[in-house]
Amino acid sequence: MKETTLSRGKFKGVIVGCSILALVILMGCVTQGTVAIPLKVIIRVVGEELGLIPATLDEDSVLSAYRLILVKLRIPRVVMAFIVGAGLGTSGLIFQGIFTNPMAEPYVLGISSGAAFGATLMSVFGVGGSLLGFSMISLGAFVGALGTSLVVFGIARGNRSNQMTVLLLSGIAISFFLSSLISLMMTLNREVIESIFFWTMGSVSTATWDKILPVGTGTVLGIAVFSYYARELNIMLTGEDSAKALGVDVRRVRLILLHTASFITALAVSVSGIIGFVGLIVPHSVRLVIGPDHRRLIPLTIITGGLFLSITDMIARTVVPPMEIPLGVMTALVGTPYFLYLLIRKKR
Amino acid sequence: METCAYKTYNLSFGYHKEADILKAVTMGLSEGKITGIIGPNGSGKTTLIKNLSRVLSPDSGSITVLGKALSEYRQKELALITGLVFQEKESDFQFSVFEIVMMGRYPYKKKFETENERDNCRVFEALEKTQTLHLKDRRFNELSGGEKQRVMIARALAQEPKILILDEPIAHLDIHHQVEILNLVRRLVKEKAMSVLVILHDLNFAYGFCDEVVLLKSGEVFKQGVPQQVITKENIKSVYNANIEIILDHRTNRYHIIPAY
Repeated sequence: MKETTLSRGKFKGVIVGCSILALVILMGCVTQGTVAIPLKVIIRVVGEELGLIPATLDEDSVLSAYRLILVKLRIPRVVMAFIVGAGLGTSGLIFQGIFTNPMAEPYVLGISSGAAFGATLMSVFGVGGSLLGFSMISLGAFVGALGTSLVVFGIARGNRSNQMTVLLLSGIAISFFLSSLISLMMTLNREVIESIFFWTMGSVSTATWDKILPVGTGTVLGIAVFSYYARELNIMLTGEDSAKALGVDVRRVRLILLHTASFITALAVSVSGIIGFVGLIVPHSVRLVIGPDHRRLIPLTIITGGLFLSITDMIARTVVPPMEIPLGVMTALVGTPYFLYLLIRKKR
Repeated sequence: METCAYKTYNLSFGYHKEADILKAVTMGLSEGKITGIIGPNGSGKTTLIKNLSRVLSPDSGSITVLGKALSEYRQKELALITGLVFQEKESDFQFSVFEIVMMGRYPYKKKFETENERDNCRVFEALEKTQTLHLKDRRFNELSGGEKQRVMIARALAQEPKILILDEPIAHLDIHHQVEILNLVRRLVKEKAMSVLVILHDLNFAYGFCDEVVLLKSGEVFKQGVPQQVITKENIKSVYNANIEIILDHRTNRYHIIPAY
C-alpha cells in the first residue's frame, strides 16, 4: 500500500472535523449516567450557565435537579476525564518519542510508582487537609511523581556514554524499589489498604471545577511546550547524533521534554490515581493512522486521548449501576483488544 | 598558506578519565578537497568526527572551522556550514523519504515557520543529485542499505553545507553502490566546491579516491598527506600490523593494494 501524506490544508480539515465530532461525543457522554438526561436539557443548561441563553426564572424541580447533576457532577467529570486522557496521551507521546521506543510509558521511568508512593505516604501518616482544592493525597502523588523523575534523570545525567540505557534501567530499578516500599507500608498499616488500593485503580469521580482549573491550565501549558519542540523531536527520532549535526540542541530539548512529560503525568495521576495504558495505546494508535510527524500527532493525540478516557469513564459508571468499575480496569479492558486489533491489522 | 575548512590542534577526548580515545590529534581538512580518515578498528575515527561536529566535546585542544573556533558557533549556525552523514541506525518510526530529507532544511527554519517553495526546491535538487527522487514517498525504514545511505546524503545536501563529513558511507554496500556514492561525492566537490571528510575502511578506495589521507593509530595521527605518501607498505605494517603489496596495474595505470599472505 502506498503511503500518501495528507496535505496541510486537508489535515486542518481533519482536525476541525475531529474537534466537532469530539464535542458531539462529549455531549453524548454527559447524557449518560445513573440518571439519563435529555440532550435538549443539556444544551439549555450549558447555554444558560455560559450566559448564551437568558436564564429561565420559573424553573421546575426536575430541571433544577438536572442542573445540579450536570453542573456539579456530570460535566466536571467528563471534562476531567478528557483532560486526564489528553494529558496521559501526550506525555506517553513525548516519552515514546524521546526513547525512540513505541512501547515507552510513564511506568518505565518509575513515575507512576513515584506517584503511588507519594499518595501512600500521605495516607499512612494520615496527613489530612487540602491545598488549592487538592487533597493531601493528590499533592503527595504529584510530588512523588516529579521527585522520582528528577532522581532518575539525575542518575542518568552523570553517565556520559550510555545515558539512555542508564535512564531506563534506573527508572525500572526505582520503580521496583518504591513498589516494595508501598507493599511494606500497606502490610504494616492495614487500615489504609483500601484507600490506597482504590487510588491505584484510578478514577475521575471526585472531579470538581476547583481541580479542573489548575490541572487543565497545567496540562495546556505542558502541551504548549511540547508543541514548541515538536519539529526538534521529529529530527531526534532519526538519530541523536545526526540531530545534533542538523543544529538541534538535543540535550536541552530532551531534558525539557522529559520534565514536561513528567509534569503532565504528575498532574494527571494527582487527580485520577493510576490509569494505565492510555499513555501507551493512544499515541501508538494515532501514529499508526497519521504517521510519525509530531506536529500532526499532538492535536490528534489530545482529541483521541481525551475522548478515549471520557468514553471509558462513561462506560465505567453506567454499565453496572449503581456500582462503578475502576477506570484503570476499564482502560485495560477496552484498550487491549483494540490495541491488538490495530497491531494485527497492520501486520498483514 | 592554504586555508583550512577544519583544523584541530592537540585535540584530546576520552569517554572515561583513564583512557583517552583521541590523543593530541592535530590535523587539517583542506578546502575543496576530499580528505580520507583511515585506521584500524578502535583507532578513533568516528570519535574524531563526532568531536568535529560537536556531538562530543573535546577534553582539551582546539578545533577551528573556516578560521573560527568551533565553540563560537551556535549549533544551528554550524549546521549551515557542516553536513554530517553518520552510519544509519534502525528506527521504528516511519518517516517518508521526503520528510527525512526535508529535515535537512531545519537549520534554515525559524520556530513554527513552515516549509516554503525554496525549501521544496532544495529538497528536490538533493533527491535528484543522489538519484533518490523516485523513492520520495516511500517509507525510510523499508529501503535497502544503499538507498538509506543515499537518502541520508540527500538530507545533508539539503542543508547546503560547505563541508560534508561522512562516516563510512560505503560500508555494507555492494560494489556498484560503493562506486556510485564515491562518484557522487567527487561530483559534489567539483560542482559545489565542497570540502569533504570521509572515513573509509577500504584502503583501495582511500588510495584512489582521496586527495589527502589521515592515518590514525590508537587515537594519534600517525601520518597525514597525499595517499601515495601515507598508504605505504611500511606505514600499514606498523599501524595495522598487516603486510600489503601495492601493485601498479599497467592497463589502467592505477595502483592496487592487496593483502600479502
